[in-house]
Amino acid sequence: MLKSLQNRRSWVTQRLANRYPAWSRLRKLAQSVGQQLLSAAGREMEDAYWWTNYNLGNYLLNTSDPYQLEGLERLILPTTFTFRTQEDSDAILYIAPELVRGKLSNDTWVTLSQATDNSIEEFWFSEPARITAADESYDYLPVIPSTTVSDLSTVVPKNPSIAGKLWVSLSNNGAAVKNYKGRIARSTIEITGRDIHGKVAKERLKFAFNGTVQTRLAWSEISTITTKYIDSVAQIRIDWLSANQTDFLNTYGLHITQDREKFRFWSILEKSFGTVLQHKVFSPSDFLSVQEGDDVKHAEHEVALFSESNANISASNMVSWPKRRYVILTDGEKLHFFIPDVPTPDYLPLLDKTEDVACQIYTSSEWAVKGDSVSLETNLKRAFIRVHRTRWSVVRPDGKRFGLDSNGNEITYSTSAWTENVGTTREKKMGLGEDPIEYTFQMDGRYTFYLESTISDILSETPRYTDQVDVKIIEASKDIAQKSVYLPVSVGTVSSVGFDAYNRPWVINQAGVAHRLNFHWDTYLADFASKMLYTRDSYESLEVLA
Amino acid sequence: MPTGSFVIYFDVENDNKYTGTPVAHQTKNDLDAHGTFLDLVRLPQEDGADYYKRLQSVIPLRGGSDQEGLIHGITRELGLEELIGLKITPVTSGGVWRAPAPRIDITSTHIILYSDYREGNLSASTIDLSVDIHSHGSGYLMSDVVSAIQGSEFFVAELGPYMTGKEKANGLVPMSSNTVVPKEWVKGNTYWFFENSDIVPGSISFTEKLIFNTEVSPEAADLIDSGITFSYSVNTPVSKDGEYYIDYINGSCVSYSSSSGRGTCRYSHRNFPMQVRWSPVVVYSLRDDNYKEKVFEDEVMPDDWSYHGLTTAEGSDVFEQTFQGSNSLWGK
Repeated sequence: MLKSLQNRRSWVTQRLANRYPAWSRLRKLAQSVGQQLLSAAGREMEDAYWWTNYNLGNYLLNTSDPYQLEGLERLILPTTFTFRTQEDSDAILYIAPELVRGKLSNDTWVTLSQATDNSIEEFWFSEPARITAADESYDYLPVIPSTTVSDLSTVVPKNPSIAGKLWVSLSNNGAAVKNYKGRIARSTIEITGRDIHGKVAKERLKFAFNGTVQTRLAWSEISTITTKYIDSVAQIRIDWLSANQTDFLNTYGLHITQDREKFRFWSILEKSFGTVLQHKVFSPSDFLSVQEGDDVKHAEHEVALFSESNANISASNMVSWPKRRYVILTDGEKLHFFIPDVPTPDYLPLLDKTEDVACQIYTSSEWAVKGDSVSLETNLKRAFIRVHRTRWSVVRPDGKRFGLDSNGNEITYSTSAWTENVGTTREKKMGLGEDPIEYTFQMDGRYTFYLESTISDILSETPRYTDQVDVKIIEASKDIAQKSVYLPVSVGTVSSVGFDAYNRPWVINQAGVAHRLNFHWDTYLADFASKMLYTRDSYESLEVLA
Repeated sequence: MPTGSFVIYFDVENDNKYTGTPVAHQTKNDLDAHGTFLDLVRLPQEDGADYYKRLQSVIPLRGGSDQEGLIHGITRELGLEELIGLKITPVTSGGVWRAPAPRIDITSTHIILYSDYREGNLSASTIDLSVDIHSHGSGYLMSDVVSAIQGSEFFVAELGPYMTGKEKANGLVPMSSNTVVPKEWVKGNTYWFFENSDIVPGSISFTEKLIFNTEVSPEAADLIDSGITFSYSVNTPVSKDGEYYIDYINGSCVSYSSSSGRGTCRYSHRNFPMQVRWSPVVVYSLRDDNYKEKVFEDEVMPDDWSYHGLTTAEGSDVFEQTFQGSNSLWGK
């Protein structure tokens, strides 16, 4: 597994949790002890799921990844060369070379880093470190610019500059499933033309949602586009790059709620402080509600995006990197590589929680982004309890601790700020009935809420007071780019980034010119025992300093 | 060696520093497995996307021992790319082709545009234009071919989507706009469609001669006024056993009696607009009469009879090159 994936919440965790009863904390709460345990297995299973899918894709040529592990360069070190070693009690460990650098064809030297943990997966499937412009550029003209269906007959499709699979986008189409004279039919776009070998071809694309679908056939020319069961106000666009899409379907994962499995989309959203990555979800299985026109995607999570140097990003465009784990954003001069899954909070503060705490924190949501509000309520876990006093407090990402008044305002955290005689439960356990506290996140990062309480058992003759603490962590999610890499100056200021039908990266600059890019990793994989170094990029010479 | 005891000597050759040139190390992956299955190996240090493209072309552009197969195979094996070189469309006026019976043949040396092609009767056919694509003639480069065809009133040509016009035109792959369908099952019905439209009149033959005995012409079927098409429910063109009517443009057939469904037919049809492939690899067949004209001097004998005599300058060059590379000898 890529190291950067290890602290991400996996969608499989909730799928495993959904095998538990609906009333269990494990199923309901992501911060439950049960889900923390399951997340380790869920993370590993998602990784196995991803690789199974990837390998199944490679089983057919049409769905293969063109950039599988291949074409390495190898430096064979002389037999007299010795790596540094470290003698442990049970083994001798090799130590990575102090310096490995490679000379490029323009006589500049770049420093190579060892692939994380010397792992092949990190070596081949991680993010690049350097970007150059490839010798290929075109004026970017979509095959069909965004066109209203009623005007479709007036548009002459352009030939794609790179013949291959195309991206067909549908937007502003009401329900994807139409009831036409009693017949239930899906929205369909049919394209005819010539494939990459010049043969007459026809393909029908069905749309379950407003979004983008990649064609199955590879096209060199589109001659006609016909629509069926699509609103006349809907808009169609056909591109030869995956750039300029509004959202990207994640074909390798799902979004799992406590009761349903949904498709997951990624998109970016502009906020006052910068760009957030939005996780939208769509449930196609609910046929009835879809028929009623409820096929919009709902935003589920948002994550504030930061560059590698920990500054807010104002991104103009994003793209999902096909057959890889990353999404790529551009702010005009750099490409930022992100793992799009939600980061898992650090659960360490949960250790402050009293075991078997009766007076618990209940929150409206377990996920948030800067600017969001959350409502905090008390929830009693057991019946026949008297709550003598409670005290709310929060530790903000800056480490400062504040008390919370009943309006959610931050007040000085002091020994006196208790709410006395809060309430009593009788036969049933229940909430205490006070108004929820509304608290707004002003910063990025981890907020830890504390609910301190003093309770007693109402059934005992002489009340025995117990002090308890409940803790809940809510992360105002923030994600730092795995890498932020400068684009070559020659491509100009970039407005969007995309991939072509052969998974090669491209950028479109503000003048509307599409430039193909070359990614370079500048990493090496060391075979210490056989005294060899493998690199991905080619260098005129390599210098190794043990 | 324990940690910390390591010393770097920059000034002398030692076992801790080495500078060398890395060499290519090709690993196999699943694409190479597809390559094994499709009998196409990866070229040295070939980029994944390029190999992927070549693999994709194996099935649609089959390699083989005939001229077209050799062009496909050699182009692909060399890592080159075949493109759509030319698109030729018959000019229409009033919804019908201006040429009565258009046909385009790409030979190894010429593009021949027929305005009125008579199936099986070449001498009665009318050639509209013939463009020489072999020598420094009217169509040496692809852009020259396009402008040469602009001279025709029956056809219009344009470059393929990925051509620049600077390519040499002899790379056009020999083909014809008319394709022969040697065998197609006749559907067991009185009104049915062929699997192709734009069928060449006079090219059809049926195995069930009794059912398809007398062809009714549009004039006889009284369909001339409504154009060549008809509406089956309104005006059935056939009236007695053995009669049949063919709509050549739409590719449909009406017969008085129903076919058994076990008979077959043979016909040729036109593919317009015609897409002519272009390859940087040029293959000539020494049995090709068109090519022979270029490599042998034509000796014209009395009574308009001619034979191929001595080799031309180009011909002798070709033969010399060819036989240098093989151990065959003249006369053996």
